[in-house]
Amino acid sequence: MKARFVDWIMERLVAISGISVGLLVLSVFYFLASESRYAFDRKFPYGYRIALQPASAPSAEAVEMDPNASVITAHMDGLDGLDDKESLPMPTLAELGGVATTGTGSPLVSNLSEADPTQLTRDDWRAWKSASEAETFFLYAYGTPELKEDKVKIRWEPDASYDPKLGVHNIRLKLIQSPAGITAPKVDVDLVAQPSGEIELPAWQAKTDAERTKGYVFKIEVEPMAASNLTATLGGFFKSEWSPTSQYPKYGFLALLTSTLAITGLALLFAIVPSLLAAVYLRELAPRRVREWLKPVIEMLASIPTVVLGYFGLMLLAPGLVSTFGKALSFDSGRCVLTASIMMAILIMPTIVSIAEDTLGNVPAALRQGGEALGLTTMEAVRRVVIPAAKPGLLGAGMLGFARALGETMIVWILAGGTATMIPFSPRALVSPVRGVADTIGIEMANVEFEKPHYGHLFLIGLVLFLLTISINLYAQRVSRRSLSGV
Amino acid sequence: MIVETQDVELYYGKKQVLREINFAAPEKKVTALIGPSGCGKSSFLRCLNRMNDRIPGFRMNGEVKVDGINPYTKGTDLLRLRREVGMLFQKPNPFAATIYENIALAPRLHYGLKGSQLDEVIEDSLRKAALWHEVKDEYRKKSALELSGGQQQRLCLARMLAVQPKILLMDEPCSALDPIASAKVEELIVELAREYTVLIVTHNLQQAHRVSDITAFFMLGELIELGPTNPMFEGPDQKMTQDYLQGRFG
Amino acid sequence: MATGSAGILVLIIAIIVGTVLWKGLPAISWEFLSTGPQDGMTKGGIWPMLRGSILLMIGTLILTLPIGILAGIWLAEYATESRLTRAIRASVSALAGTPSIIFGLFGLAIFVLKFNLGTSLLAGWLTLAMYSIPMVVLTTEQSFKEVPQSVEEGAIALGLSKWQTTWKVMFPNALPGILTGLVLTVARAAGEAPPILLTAAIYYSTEKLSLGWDSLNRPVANLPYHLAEGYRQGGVIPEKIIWGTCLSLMLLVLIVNLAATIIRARARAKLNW
Repeated sequence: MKARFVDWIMERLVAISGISVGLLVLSVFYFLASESRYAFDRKFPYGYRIALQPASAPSAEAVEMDPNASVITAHMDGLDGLDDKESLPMPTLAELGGVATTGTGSPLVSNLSEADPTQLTRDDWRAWKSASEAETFFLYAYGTPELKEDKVKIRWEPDASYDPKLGVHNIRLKLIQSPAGITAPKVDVDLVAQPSGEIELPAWQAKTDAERTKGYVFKIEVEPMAASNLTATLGGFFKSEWSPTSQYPKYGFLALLTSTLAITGLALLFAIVPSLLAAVYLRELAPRRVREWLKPVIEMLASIPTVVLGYFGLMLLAPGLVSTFGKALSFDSGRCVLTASIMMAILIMPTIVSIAEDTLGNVPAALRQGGEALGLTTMEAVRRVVIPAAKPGLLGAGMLGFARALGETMIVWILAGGTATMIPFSPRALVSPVRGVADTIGIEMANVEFEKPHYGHLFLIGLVLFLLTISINLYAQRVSRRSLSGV
Repeated sequence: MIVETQDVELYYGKKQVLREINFAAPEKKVTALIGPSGCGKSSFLRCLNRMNDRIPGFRMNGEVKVDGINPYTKGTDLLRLRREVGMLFQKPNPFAATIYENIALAPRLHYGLKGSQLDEVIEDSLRKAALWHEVKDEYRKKSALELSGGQQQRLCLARMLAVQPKILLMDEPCSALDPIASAKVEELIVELAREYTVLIVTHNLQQAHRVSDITAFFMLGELIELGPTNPMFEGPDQKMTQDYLQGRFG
Repeated sequence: MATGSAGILVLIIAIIVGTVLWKGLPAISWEFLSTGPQDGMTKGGIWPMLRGSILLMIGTLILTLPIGILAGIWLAEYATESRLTRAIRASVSALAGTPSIIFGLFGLAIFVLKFNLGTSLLAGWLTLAMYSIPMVVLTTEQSFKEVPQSVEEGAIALGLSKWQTTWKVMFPNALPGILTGLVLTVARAAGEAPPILLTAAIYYSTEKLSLGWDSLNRPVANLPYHLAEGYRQGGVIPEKIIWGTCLSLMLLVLIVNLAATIIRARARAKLNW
């Protein structure tokens, strides 16, 4: 009776354990995906500097934050000290006396009829909008009594580091009101298609502060371009610039992915042939005794902590590469794609050797002996009989090594240089400093605000990495199994 | 008849391994199951204590009675049945433990034996398996895996006897042993037949002749002939049996 | 050529291990191992990190052991061949190949934030256990499968129940393999920086080292993270101390490794199959 009861309990206990471990994969997926949702909470910034200036002002110069310009940019709350409560008030005409000849300011309201001419600001456009939101702004432009010229011009250009092409809104600048008695040319500019430019207008002066709203009035219309925040976020995700902490954050994951693929691919290239040969040696040529101690020794390499391998590369391999090839290839920092991929190759070799050796061992002895019976030497038999039979498994071994390298964090972190830029499509790629997928998560998660878009994006790239490695692993398993079944 | 079957048919997946087996073995006699390899004799033996269940695609029809119990009836206490029916395998399969522990495991779990009672059972079993004199000095310490092949097989025999079975199933118990070791096991079988019913599958016709009282000849999944050993070896009823005994196939 | 490749591999191993030994040994002394860092990491030893790594390793071992082994037993002995078990087996081995940083993210999301454990030793244990369990399940299953079927049949034929067979006969046979797998996995986990980076690690704490229940809720300094963060801080830690730390970490992992390999080799020789 007791035995039966224990059996009953244990049968359930092991099944629960087994199934919960099986569910682990789902829960990893679930939590990565669910934390990724913060990536889609993101708002999209835009920023232009727009100013009315005397016609003689040099067009080549940037529209600076001078009293004339209304710098219309987007700021994350607290990012540069400017938030809703801290808009710079537009100086009055008296305050501007002797300093500026023109002025541009915006009301703190989005409905023109509520505008108060004494409450103008110069820095007003706090535009962090979700992809589906629309927004309207107004700009009052006028000359001060000091203006001597009879022509003025409205100038606009994108804020520094803002790339209009990466935006997800249509933005138009329109002239909606001209001062009484002045016939102005039509102004209706697509700020995305034409991110900078200028249009000349007849001069008009505001004599009093109250009159400032009676001059030129521009309207800036911001309208959604993409269908939803989801597609817009994903659109930004599949771009090639990763700069999540800049004023205009960019989450272009391709920069990281291509670097990782480059390092991993190169590592596989370095590792595959020596690994397979070493596996052949271990299985086919080495005396039994040698194999018995050699295999654990090689597997020991796989267990050296990767951070130690990283430091080894940093302190010895990188300086070595620089002093050997630095002149010829003109690079001075050893932290680059090449160094990382060499160290990575060393890391994945034992994995490949070990699995490839097992695969070779699974080739039926009959097949092998058949080859040898035909009078082939051992190496010939290996080349013509054993390797073809083991091919899928060897492929699987390579893929598992690839997957291992794909997710490696510390080696890339320490050795690849850490610059999150797109890897160039030229031989220079070898010596470029880059940042990969896994190490980016490790490096940036430490300084990130939880449950914000950057945090969400780190989970999103984690999710992609997870799906990528899991599919390679599953595929490699299938391929190897085909090899084991002896076909 | 302590073991009886009626119209037993056995399948592994789509492959039929046994057809219409009507078999009977008397109590306290040695019955040998012979036949060419792949004839189904081992499968038949293993279906008597349901050792085939774990083979994927296994299916069985017909009636089996072992000591009056049908192991295939729903609700049969299979674990109890297996205590009644011991089994010895082709290859010795000692557990990775001491000789003592190998034998002690089942009586301890089944009958709650301990202390001197258990010691007695173990000594008795080792004696019956003719292993006592070889291991009596070290059987508490020595690992079963350190024994020779023949000793291991006799240990397995002792292990089985310690459960106090009535029927012993032996699946080619000597096939992995050298001639001297198998002669010893053979002797034991004859010895054991005084107390136990023995069913033995064997490849070795001489062995079957020497040890058995009854012989069953299997071929291609069918039971061709069943009868007392000596008459069968001297003049079988069936042509096929004769051909086999004269070494025409298999 | 094949021989040469194997030779090169051995040479690489020798160079790496040799260099770390050669550069690290001069730094290592009893004082180095038993005292804490001083003067903003520029002097002193690595005891808090060493202690943290050992703590992480032990806790992970304890958490991984029951569920890893039970689940492995289920896959090897109980799970009937079906689409579900095939899917579970595939996903466990896919998880075993999943990058450690993914487990770091997972641990951050579930243990640190969802269960509100904060960056703590406990969260680190749980995360490292999640990382280790799939590998332990696979090695346990493998060890059970390596026990000859005849042994299992022998136990069944004696009338032992399923669990009696599994626990009393199969398990002792599979034990060396299971232990080796467990120890290797946990040693490897203890050498990994990414999982604890986000869940358990602290660079340097001047807090007095103590060991009590509240240690569970506090982050721990540990060797791999010390090296990772030491790199990020850039050149604060003198080279000699870095090599010493590298060597300590490597030795910690390799010694445990070596022990496991020896257990396995001896058990194999004894079991002789």
